[in-house]
Amino acid sequence: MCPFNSQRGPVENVGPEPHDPRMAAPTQRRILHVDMDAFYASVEQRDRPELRGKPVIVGGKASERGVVCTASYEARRFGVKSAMATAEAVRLCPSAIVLPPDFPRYQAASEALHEIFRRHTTLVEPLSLDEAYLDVTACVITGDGHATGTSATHIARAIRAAVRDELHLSASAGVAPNKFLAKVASDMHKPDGLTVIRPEQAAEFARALPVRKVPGIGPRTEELCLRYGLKLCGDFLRHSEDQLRRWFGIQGPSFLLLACGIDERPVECERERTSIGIEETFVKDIEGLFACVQALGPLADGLWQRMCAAEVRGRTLTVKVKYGDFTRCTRSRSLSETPTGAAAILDYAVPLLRNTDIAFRRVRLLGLQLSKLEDPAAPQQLVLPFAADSNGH
Amino acid sequence: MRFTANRQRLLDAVSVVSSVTGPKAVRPVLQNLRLVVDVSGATLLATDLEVAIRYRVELLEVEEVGDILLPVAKLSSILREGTADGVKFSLDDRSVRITCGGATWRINGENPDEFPVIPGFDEEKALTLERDTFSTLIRKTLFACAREKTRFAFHGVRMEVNGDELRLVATDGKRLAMKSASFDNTRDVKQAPIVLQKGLMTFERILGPDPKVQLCIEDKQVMVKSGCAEVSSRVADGVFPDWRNVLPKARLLKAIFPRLELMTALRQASVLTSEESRSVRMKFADGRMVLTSRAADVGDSRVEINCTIDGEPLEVAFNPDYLVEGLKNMEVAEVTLVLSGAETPACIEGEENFVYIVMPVTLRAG
Repeated sequence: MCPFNSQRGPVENVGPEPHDPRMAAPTQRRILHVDMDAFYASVEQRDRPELRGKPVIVGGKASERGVVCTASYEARRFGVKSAMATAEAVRLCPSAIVLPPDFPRYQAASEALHEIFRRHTTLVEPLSLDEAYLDVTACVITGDGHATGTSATHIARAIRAAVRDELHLSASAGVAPNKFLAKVASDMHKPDGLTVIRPEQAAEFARALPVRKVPGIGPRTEELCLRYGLKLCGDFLRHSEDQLRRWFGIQGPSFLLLACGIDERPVECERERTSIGIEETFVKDIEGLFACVQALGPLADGLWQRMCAAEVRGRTLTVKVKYGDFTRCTRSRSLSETPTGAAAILDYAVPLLRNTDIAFRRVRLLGLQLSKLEDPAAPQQLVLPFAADSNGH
Repeated sequence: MRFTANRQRLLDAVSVVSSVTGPKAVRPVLQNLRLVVDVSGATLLATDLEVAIRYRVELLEVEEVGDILLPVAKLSSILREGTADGVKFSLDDRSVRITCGGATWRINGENPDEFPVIPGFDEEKALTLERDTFSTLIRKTLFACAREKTRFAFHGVRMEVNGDELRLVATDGKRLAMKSASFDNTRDVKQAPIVLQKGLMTFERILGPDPKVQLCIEDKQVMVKSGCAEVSSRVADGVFPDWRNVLPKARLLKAIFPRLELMTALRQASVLTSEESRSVRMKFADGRMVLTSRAADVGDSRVEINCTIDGEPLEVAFNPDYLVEGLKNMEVAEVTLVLSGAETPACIEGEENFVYIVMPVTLRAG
């Protein structure tokens, strides 16, 4: 919900302040998760007052099989969710105003948001344009374990106030001893909410969470959990590490730690890019090898442009296919050298594509991804400057 | 079918023929060779649909003619394991009994009608060349073509005839080798096909004691006949780039080296380069070239070599393997490295009618 039409005041669930801020163990981290509320839609409502109070959907057109990027809270009341097909969303909420995404504007708002974060700490890990983890431990506790007088909750309040006053947008925040709980907390009183989980509450809080909240547990692992009678995180505690390893493989023991509210993952401010990719969902499913190979051409061009723009090179190419029935498959190969152009990408990708069922199944989406990226400063073999139309293809 | 052959001679023939059938044959029937026996000897045929071979072998005695498909791998193992000089074949319905000394094998053959038709050599249209000339042209270009099959035109060697000159050109997009030689030409050949890498390798393999080789260039295939063997190779699709376009445009720096010393220096420096980016840096000054290289987390190297320098000081880096491969294929004592810039084509000159062009590697930032 956008603050301009919010009928209720911001929600704060901070509990009583501890009597002594030093209650937190010296090694205890203080992590914030800040998540903007209906970000793209709120930016649109902020910049276009006529949209305020109305159901707004930012996403691809229904006629082109687009999907919802973000829906305003007015639209969410009709059951519209992110990643839903726009056609379905419009059926649920016929009065919705569908807007194409305007990324440069969202990017600008995101940069302003990060500027606010940096007033407090440089330890910021962006998850997307509108969501980030902040490690504010150093702002709260000094190196020798003494409290600085400020608290993580103060910082969260200051950030939310700045977002409201300067950006005219609203953010929800979670404060917790780790990333897992901070993220769960920020989601608890959305929109425009603040939730604080104190270190001493962490274990109890985690135990009561549904297993699906645990990072790494998606729909499929959740199904598996339910089969083993694991509904809440607390249910993990009834089983030994060995048992969990048998059920979930190497991830089993880490689920147990998370279920206890323990998450040691650091806030990583410089996320290194590990892959670069491009994909396209077709307006109509395409059929046949020829059509797929043709469709791959513009994707190879697009990937090459992105590689050039990001100045990256890589040694593993993956072709992604989503069939008409939404089942998907990927095919990868390692390359003897980084592709030196769109044509070279295509050279490697076509045999991979042939290795799928595209010849006899309808195809909804094709994607190309380059991973195992190389140091861009490393010397690069140049190619002979033949005329563009005669490079061996 | 019933005949006796010299085991070693038949084994040699099967070995050559089997290089055409690959383990990844497109169709299972192609893992066979076709054995056709007539009154004067045997013909072995094999193909992978890209390259085809026809190989004639003399036999010691033919009692009955015949025609059968036999699995290449089994046949060559049998001939290799046999110990006697002579080996006897007799066909009974579809199974062949092979006797060599005290050993007898029976292998099942297949219907020869299942095998693709392999074209015969058309001597009418053939050019005649010296065997050594042809083999030199192949050896000095084939190494430069691309390993990847998907690179169509770069996966082969372009062959062109201009008057009394035969020219072969190959490139993988990063370096290019061109070699030409004159021969006694009597025909007008318009086609300039790209011959598949495997085709050229097979051409070279069949070159036997006969000092002459016959070459037939057609639209869809190129055929070679030498002694008792004929090979045809399909022609690659794609447009072959013009090598003249990538000759160094400027000659900013020329450095003359003893060929073997330059090779040694490059090999020395290449010890410490990283796997992902093979790169050796060159610096020219005061009659010396200094090569430096670095392998991250392993170490670095510095190699000095005297040379005659003419031109502007220039720093450039190369994949040392590309330079060494070119130098290895030159037969002169002295070579000239010609540079046109740090990121533009360089070439190695010295041998007549041989052009070798290499693209540099970018200099490490900083």
